[in-house]
Amino acid sequence: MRIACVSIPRFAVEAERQRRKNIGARLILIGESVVLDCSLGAEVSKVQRGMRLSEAIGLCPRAIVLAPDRPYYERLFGEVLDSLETLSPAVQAGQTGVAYAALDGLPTPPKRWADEAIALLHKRLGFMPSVGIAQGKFAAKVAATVSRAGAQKIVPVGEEAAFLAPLALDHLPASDAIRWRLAMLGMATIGEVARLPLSAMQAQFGTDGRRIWELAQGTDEEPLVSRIQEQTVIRRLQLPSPAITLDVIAAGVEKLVLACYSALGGGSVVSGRWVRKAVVRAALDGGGAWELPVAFREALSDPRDAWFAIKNAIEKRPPVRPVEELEVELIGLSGESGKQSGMFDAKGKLWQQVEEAVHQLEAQQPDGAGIAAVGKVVPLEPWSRIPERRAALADFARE
Amino acid sequence: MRINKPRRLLSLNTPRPIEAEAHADGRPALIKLGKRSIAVEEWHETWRIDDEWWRPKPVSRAYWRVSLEDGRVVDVYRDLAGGGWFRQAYG
Repeated sequence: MRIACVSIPRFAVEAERQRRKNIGARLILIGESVVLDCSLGAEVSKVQRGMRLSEAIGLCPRAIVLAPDRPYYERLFGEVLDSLETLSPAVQAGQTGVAYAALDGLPTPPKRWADEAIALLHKRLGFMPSVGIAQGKFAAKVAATVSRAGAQKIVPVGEEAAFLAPLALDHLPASDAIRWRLAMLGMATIGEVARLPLSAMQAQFGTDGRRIWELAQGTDEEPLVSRIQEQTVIRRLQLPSPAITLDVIAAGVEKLVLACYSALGGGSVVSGRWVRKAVVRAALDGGGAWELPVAFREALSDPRDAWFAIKNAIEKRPPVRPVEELEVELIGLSGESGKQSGMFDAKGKLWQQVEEAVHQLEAQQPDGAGIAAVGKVVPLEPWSRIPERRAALADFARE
Repeated sequence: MRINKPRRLLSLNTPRPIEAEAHADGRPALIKLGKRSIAVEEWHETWRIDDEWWRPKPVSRAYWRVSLEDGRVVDVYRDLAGGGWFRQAYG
């Protein structure tokens, strides 16, 4: 399968540079306790992702340190995927900053596709990606990785092994332990692994060894799985000044919840659509983000019910710093609640007969004192796993 | 016009405390229903409910559906949070 890999290295750094124009040329470290991402200059100073932040600051004392804003990076990467979907019907997200697109069946030749992808992402989002095109995701990713920003590398069909052969073992998706053992066996390039017999690799490294050997041969049968784009509704609110009190934050979130539901239902207060989950996000003063997912116990169609659940969740886990921007996203949208109604809810013929029978029993009482022995099962929490919570017996009373 | 009285709610399927003896692995061996102690003959099914863990009194129960030696099939559970055995219809 012909696959294009679109790679935007140091995606979090690039995302931060886009929204903070004043940090363009500075060394950047992004992380809290450990480094999430770092600029090229910091990499040159031997900073690595996953390294303790204190250690990284020691290596780059003049770097700007930013708190990670993962929701923002993911949102921006979602826009990258949306853009690529205008060029290919099948797009898969890899790690943040890496996307795969299927090229089979497209009328556009690979080279022109790569040029269009680079131009589109640059024009629309300001990113300068590299593009690799090959048979299979692995060779395509390596081709994108070895290309400089804004460039493309197309591996001709059938020449994947030859392309990979001189490259370092670091490109193989192997654990540090396997890489170390391969190095101890005197291997430095992918081609040297490819020349080993499969049985030897399997004997040494099991199923991982087989996978690595196949990749080194340029064979990658892993299918491209298109992303499933879930319909969501998002509303954002930029606060005029950083909000410190919970009341202000709550008022902002309530407004957004109503706006989201209003967007769902075309402006009516009760939307007619059910929502299973909401995610509340906030950009915090001084950088960083706060995120609160709220899964509703059952799908809700009334924004007031949703707001009640969200408010409780916010009170339990409020943002830790003043809030600059708020965002509410409704996900898990459905057209029906999925809740099964009771057999007698519709007050059908059978229920009318029951009412008539009770009426006759009442009439037989001398003073109309009522009949204690007739009750009505009222559902309380029919979905509950705890039997005594599901229903109760109420006095029978005719409306 | 008839004004209805406020509805009184009676809980359904309320668990009833029972006395029971258990095997070492936790399975009920002997159940006392009324004044009779009846041995468990067969264990059909077992399941757990862990819920309301966020509340001061969480629900943690180990249920068994068992056949007694007198032929009855009953559902019983051991309260893993508060202790004790209970009989409860689980339908």
